[in-house]
Parts: sequence; C-alpha cells; structure tokens
Amino acid sequence: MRLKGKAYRDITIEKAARIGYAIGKIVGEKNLVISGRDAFRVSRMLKRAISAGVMSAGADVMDFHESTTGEIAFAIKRFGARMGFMVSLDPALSGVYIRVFSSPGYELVGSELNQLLDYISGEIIEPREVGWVYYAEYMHRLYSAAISSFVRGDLISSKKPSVVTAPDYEPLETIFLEIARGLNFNQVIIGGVDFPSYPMINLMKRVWRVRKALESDIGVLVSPEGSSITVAIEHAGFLLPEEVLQLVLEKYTPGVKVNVLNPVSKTIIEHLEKNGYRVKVFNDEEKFLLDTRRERPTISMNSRGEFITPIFSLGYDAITAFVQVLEAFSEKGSKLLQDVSATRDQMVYEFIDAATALRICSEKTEPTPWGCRFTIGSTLYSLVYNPEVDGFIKITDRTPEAS
Amino acid sequence: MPTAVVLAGGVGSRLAPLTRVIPKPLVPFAGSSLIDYIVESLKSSGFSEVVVTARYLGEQIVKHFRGVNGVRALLIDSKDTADAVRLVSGLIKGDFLVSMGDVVSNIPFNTFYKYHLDHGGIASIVLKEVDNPLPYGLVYVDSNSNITLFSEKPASLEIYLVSLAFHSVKSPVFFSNLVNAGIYAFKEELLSILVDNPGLMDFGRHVFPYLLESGYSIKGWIAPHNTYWNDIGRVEVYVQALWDLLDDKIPGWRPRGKLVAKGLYVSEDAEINATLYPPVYIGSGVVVGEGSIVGPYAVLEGDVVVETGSRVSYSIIWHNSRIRRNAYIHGSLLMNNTEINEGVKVLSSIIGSGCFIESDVLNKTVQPCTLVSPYEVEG
Repeated sequence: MRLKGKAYRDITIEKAARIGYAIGKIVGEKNLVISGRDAFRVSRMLKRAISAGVMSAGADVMDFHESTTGEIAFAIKRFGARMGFMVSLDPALSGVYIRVFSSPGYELVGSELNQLLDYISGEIIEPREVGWVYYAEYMHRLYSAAISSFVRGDLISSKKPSVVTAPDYEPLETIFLEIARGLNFNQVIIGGVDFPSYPMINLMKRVWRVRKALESDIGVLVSPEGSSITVAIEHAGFLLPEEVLQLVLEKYTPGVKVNVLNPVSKTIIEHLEKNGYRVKVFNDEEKFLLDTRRERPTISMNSRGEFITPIFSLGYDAITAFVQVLEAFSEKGSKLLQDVSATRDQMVYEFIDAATALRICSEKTEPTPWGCRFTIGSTLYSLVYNPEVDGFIKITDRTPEAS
Repeated sequence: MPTAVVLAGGVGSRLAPLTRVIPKPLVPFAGSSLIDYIVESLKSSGFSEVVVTARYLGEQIVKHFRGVNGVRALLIDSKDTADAVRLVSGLIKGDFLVSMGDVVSNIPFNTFYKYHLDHGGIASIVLKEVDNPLPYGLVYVDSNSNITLFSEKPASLEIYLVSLAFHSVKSPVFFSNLVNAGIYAFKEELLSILVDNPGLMDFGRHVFPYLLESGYSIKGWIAPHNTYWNDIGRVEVYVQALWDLLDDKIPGWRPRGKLVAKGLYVSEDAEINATLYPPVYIGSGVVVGEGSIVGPYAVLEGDVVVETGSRVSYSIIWHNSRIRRNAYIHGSLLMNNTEINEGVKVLSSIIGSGCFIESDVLNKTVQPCTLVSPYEVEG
C-alpha cells in the first residue's frame, strides 16, 4: 500500500490537503513535520496542499523545497521532527508518489499508512493556532556534509576514485557536487536528459560512454528522487541491486547484519552468506521495513535498488549507498570490481534486444531505473540495460529451471 | 586497575607529508613522540594496562613500545576506531577508557574516569568547548550533561536548523560549541554491543548515534576551561602545538631535556657553541656550531647538526638532519635526514625526509626523498 497515482485523478488537491491534515493531527499542535518535493510542477502543487493541511491542524512545517527521500528521512531523525513527507514523480507509473515518514525517519507503508488514511475522512477541527512554516533552503549542504563525514573521507580523498555520475535533476546535482567537494574524489557530472521514465536508458548510455571514454572507475545512476542506485563497472556493465550491495559490504567486516527484500538473486545472497554476512531475506516490504527500524541491520536493500543505512537514516537513500561504494572501492581498489564480476559469471545471462525487453518489462512488472525484474515459477528474471550492446541482459540464477 | 586503549591506527593523511614516513601518533614532539605523552599520562592516572592498537605503519608503533612495562602495542587489521576496540575486546576487563593516540591534551584522565564511574552512563565522552566547532564532531548536551545529539563535522547552517527544531521539539537547553575530544570511557557492556554489531565501525559516526537511538545514556564531561586540547590534524596545528609546548601552555607536558633558562630546554649531551633565543628545544646529540643563532621558536630533534654561522628560527628540524654553514631556516619544517646546503635559505617550507636541498626554497612542500623513519638509526 502506497500513496501513488495520477494527480487530479487519484490524488486531488483536496485529498492532498486532507493527507496533510491527517499528518498534522497525528503529530499534534506545535510539533514539527519535515516537507520536501522534487523539481516537477505537480509535486510543487501537491506539497503546498499537504503543507496547508499540516498547518491547518496546528502543526509546524520545516520546508526543504527540492529534496531527496534520503534528505527527508535524515532530517526527521536529525531535527527530531515527528513526521515528514516527500512528493515526487514516479517514473515507473508516470504519476506522483507521496511518501510519508514517521519519527525517526522511516517510511510508512501498508497497514501503518492505512492508519494515517483513517484520519482523512474525519471532521476538520480548527486548532488553537494555525501552524507555522520554516524555510530551510540549505538542506543539501547540510545533508552532504553529514553524508561526507559518515564515511572515511581521508581514505577516499587519498585514493581519489574516478566516478561518472548523472544526477540529472535537482537537488541531486547539488548534492553530488557538495559530496565531491567534501570527499575530494574525481567526479564527472553529466546531465541534460529528457523527462524521466524507467528504465533510464538514455542516461545509462551517457554514463557508460563517458565512463568508458575517461576510463573512470565507476559510473553511477541514481533515481530522480534519490532512493535507488545502480553502478556501472568495466566487464559487467550496470549492476543488479544485490551486486551493488556486494560492493557496499566490502567496507564492512563479515558478520554484519543485512536485510534484503525479495525478489533478489539467490546466487549472490548465498555468496554473501558464504562470506560471513548475516543476511535476512524478506518477502513482505512492511515486515522488511519494520525489521530494519527495529533491528537496525548495517544495511537494507530492496529488489529495486533502494538502500537504507539505518545508522545514518531510516529512509531509502541511494546517496548513502554511493558514498559507501566509494569507501569500499578506495579500500579495495579494482579487486572489489573483479569480485563482483566473478559472481556475475556464476549466473546465467543472455542478451535481449531493447524493444523486446521493454515490452516484457511493461507486460510483466513495474520498471526500475535500470530495467526490471519478475519471477516465473520460482525463477527470478532480471533484465538490466547494457549500453555496450544497446540491449538488455537477462540474468538468472543457475538452476535447472533457468537453464 | 582499569584498562586504557589508545587508538593509533589512523593514516593521518591531512598531516602529509609528515605521515608518509611515520604514523601520526609517533610524530616527534620535542624529544618524545605524541603518543608517549598520552601513554605516560594514562599510566600516571592509574591505568595499569595500556593497549595500543596500531595499523598504518604500525610496525613502528609496535617497535616503539617493545619492552615498555604495562603497554601492549598490537598490529591489527582494523577498519576504524570502534573496530579496533572490538578486535582487542578480549584484552579488556571491566569498564575501560579509550583515547585517540594523536591528540595533544592534558585532560586529567583520572578525574574524567571517576566522573564516568559516578554517573553511570554506558559511555562518557570528554567534551571541549571551542570557538569554532565546525571542523570537529559537534555534540549537544542537555542541562543534566546527557548527550542528545552527535553531528560529525556539521555544516554551519545545521547548527541553526537544529537549534530551531530542538527549540520546538526537544529540550530547549543545549550547548552548541562543544566538540568530541576523542577520549571516552565505557562500561564493559559496550564490548558485547560492539561484538554483536560489527557494522558499528567508528565511535563518532556509528557507535554513539546507535547508543543514543537504542535508549542508552551517554554522558558528556565538559573539560575544565583551562584544559589544553588540540587535534593535530594539519601541519600548522602540529607546529602551533609545539610552540605552545615550548611556551609552557600545556600544563603537565614539558619538552625533554634540561630546563636551563626560561623557555630553553637543552639535552645534556648536546654541544652548543651558539646563541639561543628562547623558546628553544635542543635534542639529544645535537651539535650547533659557533656563530649560529637558534630561536626563537626552534625545535632541533635528536642528532641534528647546525654548522657554523647558520640561523634557525620558527622552525622544526627532525632527527639526523644537517644544516650546512651559513644556511638560513625560517618558518619551516625539515623532516628527518635532510641536508641543507651551505648558504641556502629555506623559508616557509616543508622539506621531506632524506632530501638534499641545494638551492633556496620558498613556500614549498618537498615530498620525502627516502621513506625513512626519524627513529631509524643509520647504519
């Protein structure tokens, strides 16, 4: 259960204001709610409607304007806010997506979100005083500084990995620039792409070409609202989420706890377990998120490539995963990438032309920034765009069924 | 008696090129190295067992403490500060103290440790008031000395925003110019938390936020106002700390050598036929030739030779270096085994170890020519 849909049709201005009022009633008068949105017009409009609703219940809003989901989750925790929300475009649906967060920064899904919606139809009662709105426009510097000091900056700046990124939408560009300045690595930022739609084929092509031309260590692609990441490396191309997880975990010692939401490759999970990581696999996102906030594993990841680093924040945040990849790479160098390529070689993969793959993706499932994945029987199929061949690679675990 | 762990594994990259030949805790500090002061202070405060964890150029640290009573220096493959403590947790019994091995401070370890025992938090942290907290790990405390928030190297606006948010949401009382001084005391229970959560790699970034979020009490002990504390992060800070030592601004710390006049510390086996303008430190085996002028603000570490007619001021010269006749060294740091040619001027520069400087150098950093430690005995 998520608050997603077409603006005007599924999510009207009136409904948005009601959602805001429900948030305000839950947190109570004078308490703080963090608000954010992406750069698109509809998101601006709906954010203002939700904010008005929050204020109408007597609660205060700290408004971060253009933000990432990670920033909102981080800010709730850092500033002790009771709740928060983020309005963004959902390229998978060509609609909008309202994420609602509760203290200390976890996203409400399923039954917890339903509880919020129970308030929507109630009577609106005038508060003792209408809430206030604080404008905090410099969130990106603050968040970037916090994220840069979350990893070993001295290690990264001494190794200076070279990275090609494509943060095509604000505030991602600002965040990537700030992080590069803070951690002092070599970064090429490319941009100028069309209205986002998944998979982000044009952007993946550009990242790959520039990475190749500059012989950069890695290419990075982040979803427009900053929740999902994929990484491109030599030989393997763009990676599956669990392969990115493999990179991140190299910065930690074996024994750390990891939460993973299915469907993900069994081959890689078994590989991680064999290397001593304590991996818990979930089939239900609500349970996955609940366990993440209660047990606080070192890292959590879902099958779309959205990452949570609970000790930093409890929301999906691709940027936190990105800096951890940088740290792992700075420590292990190209050996890190070879390990990932070696695991990829244990799986079955075949090439599919782009048109066929896109058709399969749209028929079978919601696309992700990097492709799509679906299961038939017990076999998981992951289709990842590969710019080298301008087509997709279909990756499956090596099972009798897949062969 | 309690155990103290001294963390000496960091790379100290911001202190390069000094740390290319020597780990930061072993940086020479007027006859000793930085870590010696910390270890001595711990031992005199009643910490009978001191465990030193080394990593980067760690063999030098292990060698440095070989045979020193009550000190176990271990070379371990740790990824960060908390990871280092986790790896030596088997050596720790009961509550314990952790200190960074690269801070210059006269914080009274015993007073702080007693505070920890008396106040019952799972962790206590030494906090230091500073004028500008932005380069450090900022800590917020309430009026009962409970730490409410950690913020590693915050952006300036964060302090404003946190103030705003805290005013409406949390406790209105907090101090915003207190920084984490890198000295902690823990209950033994912390060791099992570290072992159970190997993802907690660093104290400031991971362990303390984790403890707070898990509902543990962390106490902040604010160091007395006149306590000296300096995080030797950059070369300029290192130089300033040395000048503070010579100026007797670090109570409890003093250069080796004999105090022969105010601000003049000279080792007994040094041969001085020159004029010394305090404050100056002259190390063991140093020879200063006739007609030379040394000081003010000069540190000549062991076996340095300054030949006739030379002048050294506002400069630090590490071991086994030689300044030929009529040379002029000002505002500079010469690492070990350097040689400055006759009549050459070195101004506002850093000269790497083992380099021979044939002509004048102004405002330059010369990388080490040989990667030899200042404590290596030639031959």
